[in-house]
Amino acid sequence: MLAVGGLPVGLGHYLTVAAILLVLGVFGIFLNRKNVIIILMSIELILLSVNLNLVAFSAALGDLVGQVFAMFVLTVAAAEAAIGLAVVVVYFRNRGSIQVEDVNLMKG
Amino acid sequence: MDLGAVVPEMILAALALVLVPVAGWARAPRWRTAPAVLAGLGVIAAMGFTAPMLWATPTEAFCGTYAVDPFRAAYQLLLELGALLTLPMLAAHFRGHAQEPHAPIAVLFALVGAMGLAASLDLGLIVLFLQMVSFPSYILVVLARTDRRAQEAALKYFIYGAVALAVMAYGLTFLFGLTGSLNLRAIGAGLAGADPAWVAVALGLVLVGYGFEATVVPFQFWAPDVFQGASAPVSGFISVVPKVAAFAGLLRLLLEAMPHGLSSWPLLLALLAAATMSWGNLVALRQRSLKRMLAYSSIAQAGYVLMAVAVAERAAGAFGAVGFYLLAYLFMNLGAFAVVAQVERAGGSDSLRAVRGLGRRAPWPAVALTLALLSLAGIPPLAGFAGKVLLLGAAIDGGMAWLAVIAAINMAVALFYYVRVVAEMYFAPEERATFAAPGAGYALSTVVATAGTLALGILPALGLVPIGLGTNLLR
Repeated sequence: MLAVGGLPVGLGHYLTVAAILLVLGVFGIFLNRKNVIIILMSIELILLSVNLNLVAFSAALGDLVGQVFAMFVLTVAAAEAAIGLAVVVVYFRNRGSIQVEDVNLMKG
Repeated sequence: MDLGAVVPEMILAALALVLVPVAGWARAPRWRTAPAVLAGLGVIAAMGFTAPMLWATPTEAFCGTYAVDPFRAAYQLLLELGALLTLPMLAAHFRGHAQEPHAPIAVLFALVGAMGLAASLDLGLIVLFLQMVSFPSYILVVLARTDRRAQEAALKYFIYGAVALAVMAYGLTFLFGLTGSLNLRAIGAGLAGADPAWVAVALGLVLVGYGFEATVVPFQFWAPDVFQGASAPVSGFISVVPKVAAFAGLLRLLLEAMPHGLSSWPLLLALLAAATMSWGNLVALRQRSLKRMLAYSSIAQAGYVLMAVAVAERAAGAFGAVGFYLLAYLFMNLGAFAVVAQVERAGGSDSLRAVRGLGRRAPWPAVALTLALLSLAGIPPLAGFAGKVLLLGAAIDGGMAWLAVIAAINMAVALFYYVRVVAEMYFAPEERATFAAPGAGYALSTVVATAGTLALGILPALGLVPIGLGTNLLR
């Protein structure tokens, strides 16, 4: 176990950081009124919190399977970024803007 | 080796991978249909290999991560049927476009993901397969390159989907942390002694992902915009395949990893079901776009199914009711979308006015749409009626009579907006004189879906027997 300034760093600390990342990501999506790219970055933050959780649990339980799972989540994140950027590029070609406030053709 | 356990998935995945370069070569107009035909044949072959599993003794493959049981076979057959019904109308929709060879590949990949989800016993596989259902679905929506609404729909679908599935993965990490295992059954054994507060947190986060795929309130916000913006055959596909897969995955997760109503999920799901069906039906009442109306209708239908999922442990008939209703829903919803696709193709609009006088302009599509909508409303002797009787019976058996009453009121309210479309078709003065028959693919999908709706309604045993076998779950 790591000790920073005499304070031991345990599982709870890692989980707290992951939870903060998750909340930052979710807020980044719902409070962001500007650019779609920022939403993509927020999604990456959420997946990062998943990975941090997995690695922390894996270390605490002494079970490598969590780290293997984390590798899969990394792969998913990469594929998701590729598809997300492709969707955004096609959208930009059609509309000439990726401002969140312009995404409003359909309502009701 | 356990490769025998995944023959259907291997056929479809190999076919999809082979078709990627083939679609690149098939640029000449007369070859563009080839991938769709091959995909259809591949799905039929996969169904042939899936069906014998209905009589299999439940076992597991690949070190306990993948189930071989009749439950899996029944849901995989449902998913394959859904893809098979979508392929002809999708091919007809993209006929003559550069995207024509690409659409069936996306359908195949989504189908493999959905089939994997129905069989997964491992958290890692669940995360991967859920993403594998969603990614090709985003691509199907985005395939209509020049349609501004479709682009907006794809963007919304992607953002909601990515967030919901990421939050769900975050919830699944807690199941791992609490029990030290990724296996559903080991989790079910380990959670009994775990801190109930954390189990509740994990359950809530997991429901975000499945709720998104199955359009359960409050995670349904993407559905109306996406269904309206996407082309009608694609909307039909994403209203059926991801939803059936999500219900299969949800049932397996709840029954194996959270047995005996852990952290009172039956009550939570019952409340979500009541909210889902009421929200879907009430908002559907004031829709003028057919695709948007069908989106709210499919939200309401998800609520009905969720009602039986909530009593899956308590009522003996609940399991079969969920499967049978999903089968009926598959036929009637794809039938409705197949006709709406033709109307949209012929008239360039999917508004309620576009079907005005359809009963005289195009009698056969009008009959098909009428049957599909009446079945969705639950009029006998159609498939939706038999399904709704089973769902209500299961809810009452499971001691949730209050939920059955709410559902019955909802079904009565829903009748209004379904019948309004039928009235527009037959009793409103017609606006356009012609209706160009838009292609054999639409007709094929419509005929098969309508035949299924009628056959299941008149002879429910046709669906009940295979679904009944499928209630045999590896536990």
